[in-house]
Amino acid sequence: MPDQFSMLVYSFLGLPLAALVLFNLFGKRVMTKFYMPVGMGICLVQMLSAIVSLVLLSQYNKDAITFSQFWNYQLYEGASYFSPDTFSFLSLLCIGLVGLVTFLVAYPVLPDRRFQFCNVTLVLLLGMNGIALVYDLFSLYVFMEVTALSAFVLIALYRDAKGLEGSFKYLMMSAIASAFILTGLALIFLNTGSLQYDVVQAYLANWQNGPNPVLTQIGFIMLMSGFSIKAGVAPFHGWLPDAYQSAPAPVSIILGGIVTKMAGVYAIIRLVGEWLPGSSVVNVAFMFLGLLSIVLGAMSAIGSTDFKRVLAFSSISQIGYIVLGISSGSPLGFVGAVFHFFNHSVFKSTLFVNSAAVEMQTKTTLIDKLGGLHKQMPVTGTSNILAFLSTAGIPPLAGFWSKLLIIIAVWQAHGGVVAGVALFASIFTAVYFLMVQRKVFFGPCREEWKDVQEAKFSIRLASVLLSCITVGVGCVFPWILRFLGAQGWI
Amino acid sequence: MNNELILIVCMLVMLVCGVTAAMSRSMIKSAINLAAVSVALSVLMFVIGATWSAVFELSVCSGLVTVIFISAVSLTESKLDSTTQRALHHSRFAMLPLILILAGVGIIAAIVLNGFDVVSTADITQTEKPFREVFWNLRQADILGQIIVILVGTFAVVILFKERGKKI
Repeated sequence: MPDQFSMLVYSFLGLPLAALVLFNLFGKRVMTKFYMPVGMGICLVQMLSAIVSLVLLSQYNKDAITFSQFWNYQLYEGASYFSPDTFSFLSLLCIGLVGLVTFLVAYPVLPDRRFQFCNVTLVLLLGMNGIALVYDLFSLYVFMEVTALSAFVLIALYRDAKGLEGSFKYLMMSAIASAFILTGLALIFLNTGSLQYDVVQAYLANWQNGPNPVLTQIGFIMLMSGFSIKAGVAPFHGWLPDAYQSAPAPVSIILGGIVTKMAGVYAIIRLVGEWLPGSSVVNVAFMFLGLLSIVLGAMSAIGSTDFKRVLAFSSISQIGYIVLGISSGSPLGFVGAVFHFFNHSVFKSTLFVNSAAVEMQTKTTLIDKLGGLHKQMPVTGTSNILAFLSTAGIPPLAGFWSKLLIIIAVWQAHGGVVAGVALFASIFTAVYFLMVQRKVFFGPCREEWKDVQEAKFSIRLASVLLSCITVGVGCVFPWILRFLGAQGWI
Repeated sequence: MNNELILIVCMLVMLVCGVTAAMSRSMIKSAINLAAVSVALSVLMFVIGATWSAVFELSVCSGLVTVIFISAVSLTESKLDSTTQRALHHSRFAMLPLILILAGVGIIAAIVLNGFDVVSTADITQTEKPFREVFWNLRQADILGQIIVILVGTFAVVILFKERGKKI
């Protein structure tokens, strides 16, 4: 692959950083007018760069594009550099997509906070892009902190009591997770002397013969506990529903769509899925965590009375599927988990966009107060049906294929009972989303909502764009599977 | 003072401050105790050779995060209703010290049984590279991350404190 292409990956960090610096030199009026369109443009460029990079990796048959940092273009031995691979670029694509949708929704929803929102969202994008690009566990932790701090500020953007409470809970849990992660990293570093991915991977492959196996075990448990808290995996999920519910609508989209996944699930997929696929103890532990998340998330969603809270609990349940797929330890489970990572970003963003549309038009997200909105909001109602069908794993939508791969992989690795529970919980997903759909969109329209109109154009555009991806990816998925099979990945 | 003694003191400080943070009735005191845990953790990391982690823990967790914690507490506390206040004051963490003591005894037993030696482990991480080279040449990604953390900290202060009189 020509070296010039490695410059492509600079756009993931350089563009948001340049926009941040340049726009803060202008006045408030210029920022309010142009900042959000520029944010959307950056996200679009990021999506295109990620797609081009994925094509290049496949064309040149390379695993990753390795490049050094900004002020000294050479790789030092033991340096922390960037080396994005296929999974990184898929994550960067998700970040770009969810970022674009967030800006589209924020434009009409946050007219009075546009430049504050843009500033912090661009930092958030930088943090998540950094997570996807780095090749060193400590750098990963640094960018996780960037992501967590930005998310905390965004949740508390309006400084109302609920927002502050939600963000405080998130920050408190995030701080505990950070302490776990940092201590875990220190303990692993004691044994390896480096935290570069390849060094840690090589060490973990043979950790029993290392200098301090007990220390490694403690370090790994602490690391995984920290990542699980950040990912919102049950039983570490206490902060997640409050944070999602109390955040402003566009912030909920980016939180539910991508932040939690990049801040926690990404690292779990890297460590457990890529580096420790053969460890039976780790796989069984994550199998239980995955199952607990799936069941607990689904049960809690049924009992919730707030649209956004249902989506938050549904996120816990769907993250459980990703963790369960990883716990299978097989390439099929890994591919299923990575695709569910992508699909969940798309359909959960759609659902949060729809909740934002409902909230903007009715000023409430309480399910019992809503009803019969489908006639007034047909685009929102229809895209909501597509998104929840994809979440429940109904064919031929995108969510069906990733769940199918996960359940087949789990069946092969852990047996029929575990796969059966995962399958049964998927039916629960359909049940609680049908309940939400019926109560919010179907049935006779309530008197107070008779004059409600469809959401603004940019929100509808976001909703339609995501729905098209859900249907489109579902339709072409058999060809994607065939391609992966030809590459020898599954 | 030798390294082992510093390690033991740091661990004791972390334990005491951590338990106090969880059990304290005042959120501000909890945040300050958490900062003390971070400071002790930074010293511990520095002693065992994890210099880079120590620097970041000290600057971000003990400094920036504590400022944001205390800001959030001062903005939130007055808004909590009396029921929430009572729930926060309820001594639901009464069993925490006992659980921690049992967990600590378990971990120490595991370490002793496995013949783990902290000091010899620390030798592994001794690096010949000077800190300047490590900081500027080897950890460029982290420096970029640090700059962005400071940036988000600035935004946090501006967004959370500007026009306070109007909104809160």
